[in-house]
Amino acid sequence: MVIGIVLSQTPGYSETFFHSKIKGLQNSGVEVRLFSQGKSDGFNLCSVTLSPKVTANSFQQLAYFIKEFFLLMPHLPVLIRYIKLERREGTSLPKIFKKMYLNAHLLKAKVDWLHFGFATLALSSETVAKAIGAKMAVSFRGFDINVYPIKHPHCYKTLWKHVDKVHSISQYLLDKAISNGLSKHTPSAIITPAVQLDTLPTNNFAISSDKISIVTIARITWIKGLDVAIAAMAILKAKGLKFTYYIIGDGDKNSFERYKFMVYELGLMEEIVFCGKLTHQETLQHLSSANIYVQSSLNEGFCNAVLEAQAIGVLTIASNVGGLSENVVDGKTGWLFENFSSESLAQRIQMVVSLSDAQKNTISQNARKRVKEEFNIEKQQKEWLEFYATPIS
Amino acid sequence: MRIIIFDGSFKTTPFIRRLIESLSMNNEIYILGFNEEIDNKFENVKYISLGSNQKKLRFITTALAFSFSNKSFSHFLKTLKLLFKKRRKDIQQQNFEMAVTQIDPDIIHVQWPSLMSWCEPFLLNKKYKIILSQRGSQTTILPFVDIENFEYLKKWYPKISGFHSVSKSISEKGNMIWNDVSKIDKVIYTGLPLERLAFSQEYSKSKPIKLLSVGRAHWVKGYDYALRSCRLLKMAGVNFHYTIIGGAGDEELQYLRKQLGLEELVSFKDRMPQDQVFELMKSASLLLVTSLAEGLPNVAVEAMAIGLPVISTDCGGGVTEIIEENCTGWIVPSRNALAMALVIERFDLIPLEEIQKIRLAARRKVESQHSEIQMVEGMEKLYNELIV
Repeated sequence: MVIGIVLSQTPGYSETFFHSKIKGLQNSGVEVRLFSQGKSDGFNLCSVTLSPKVTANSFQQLAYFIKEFFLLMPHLPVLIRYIKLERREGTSLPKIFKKMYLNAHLLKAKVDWLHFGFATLALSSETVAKAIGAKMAVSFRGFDINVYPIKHPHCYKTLWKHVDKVHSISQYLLDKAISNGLSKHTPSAIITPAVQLDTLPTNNFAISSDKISIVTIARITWIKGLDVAIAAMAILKAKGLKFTYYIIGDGDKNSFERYKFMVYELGLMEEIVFCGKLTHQETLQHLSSANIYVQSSLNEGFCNAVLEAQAIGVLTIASNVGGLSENVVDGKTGWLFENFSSESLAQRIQMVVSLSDAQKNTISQNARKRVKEEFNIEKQQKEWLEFYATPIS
Repeated sequence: MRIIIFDGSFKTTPFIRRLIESLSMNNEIYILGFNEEIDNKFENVKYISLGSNQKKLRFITTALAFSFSNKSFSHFLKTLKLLFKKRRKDIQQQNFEMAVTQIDPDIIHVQWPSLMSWCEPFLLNKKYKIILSQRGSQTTILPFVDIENFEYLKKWYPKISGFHSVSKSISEKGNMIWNDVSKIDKVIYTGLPLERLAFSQEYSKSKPIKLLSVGRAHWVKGYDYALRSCRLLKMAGVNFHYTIIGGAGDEELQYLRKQLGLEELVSFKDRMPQDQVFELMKSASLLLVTSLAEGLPNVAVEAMAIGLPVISTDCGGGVTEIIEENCTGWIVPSRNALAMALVIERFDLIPLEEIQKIRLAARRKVESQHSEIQMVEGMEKLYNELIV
């Protein structure tokens, strides 16, 4: 079996989800090919085909166009099928030629499955799989389902029609996709992210210190609800709690200004540290010495960082929204708080601080045990094999 | 007086445009900007392009024209060299310096702190009087979240001849960057064309009450808090509709509207010309200023002139210089969705006669504090003080 995975970029080192997926498939004799717009230097897990170039220079673009046109000639039957499929979707001829160019790398592919790593990546390529005689799969990410369709209603109408099987990282995202028009009868599978437990450090939460350390890992952007967490920190400070809150992650200048200004206004310059982007190793170090992990996102498909925090055994508090309630079992492996509510988050943190070491240990152990049993790499790899092996009626 | 207004662009904001228009009656005004074209120019104002970032060919001809006017061959060679190396910013800097030298102004009025770096040579040689306006987030936010920016301003502020502040509160923020007994800093409130901004005699609190906000979708406008207030209003059963002019197309706001269940109750509109905004203000019930920081929110002043009641966040303090609680409007703490919601709910219960009093008091306040005459006279007085 040959599986073509479509991504915008080859996965970086820290994107363990794709690495372990690809390795697992390869180990079982499946050939994996990657199709992307860009390729990072170090990537050598499998073959990579780059998408046709797009440039602002119209002469150069014309040259690319002609070249690609000739390269596509041997695939004439595929092209004819593609044109027919697109005509049936009501696409105008000039637009079909444009799409043909942009999808040229996929139209030339010989694969059994064409799997789009994000739903938004499949937009404008909805009929390609059928044209090349492959089955089409799509993975959902939080942004795909939670945010993009609000600004672009009905954007997945054609996709829902042509997709053969969907992959979701949580039940929540699958349900949301169905409420957004995906047929209930479309075959689907939920395969959550997984964690390689033996490569992670263990959290030493028991170290009692007079100043607790709280960590969040998040891109500095609005959907991560950092304002909710920062406001909660102001409440905790007013109540006399001594803490340092580390926010690990990168973002644009404007977003940093937004949250730094909030920290300045609330007088939390001493308590809150913006660490910026850290390496995976540095991040793990922070987590292993943290007392509490907080995820105050306004929505998440599932959230790798929360899973990793639990795998390390950090006491985790997350907002009760999206896939997070599948990630954290409230009161057992961590705690959930009311979405948008900094008061609720502050209360949770206070409650966790007041627990006895034995109680903290129980939660930490529960979290580690659950990740080990339910979110391990082997299970994920097996699920991927099944995903492609199950026949589609 | 010969005055250079330096805003970085010809287009500028409506209030800088008003300043230019008023000053041009009695003074020789030059506008320097990094673009080539502008639609509605003022006839008696001279526009000098420093080389546009958009148009390549025009950029080259502008650079060469400046260089020719200098009548020095070595200078011409230097310009060619810079052009060849595509040192765009260096060429623009050179153009700026030549333009200023040729104009030989009495005053260079820099409109934004971010433009100070262009003026460094003149701040050092002290040949011209340079004034800096303190009017927005470049004074109220940036220095306090970006230590490098703070240090930069701290270093250069003492070399500036005088400051113009749009409110007392922003003047105090400026003092946190640098202050000295010799510092000249005048609070001059923005002037409105009050004769064109007629007070709307007709006012009614429609059902549902029409809430309005005006301003680009930027976090500093605090619309995320406004939407949280709307959720609380909905839960309290208040009959309202909220429109944000300038909020269209923003992902965060669209997401929050959906997530908070406000799709029927909140509309986002594209930016629109001021006249249209003023028309919409006439049919609204209440203006919400939800900003986290403002020098002094112009939109509040405009609404008060028209007769639209205003509830504003304290947004750094400047707004208290125009709104007196319960007298010319209402003020709530920033970043507090509940406080805003409660005041809107209370507003819904205030009898029309009470609101009428507040509308009139607000108009009088604007007339006494924000006339165009006070702005021009204040500015000219500041200029004169420096020249003497």
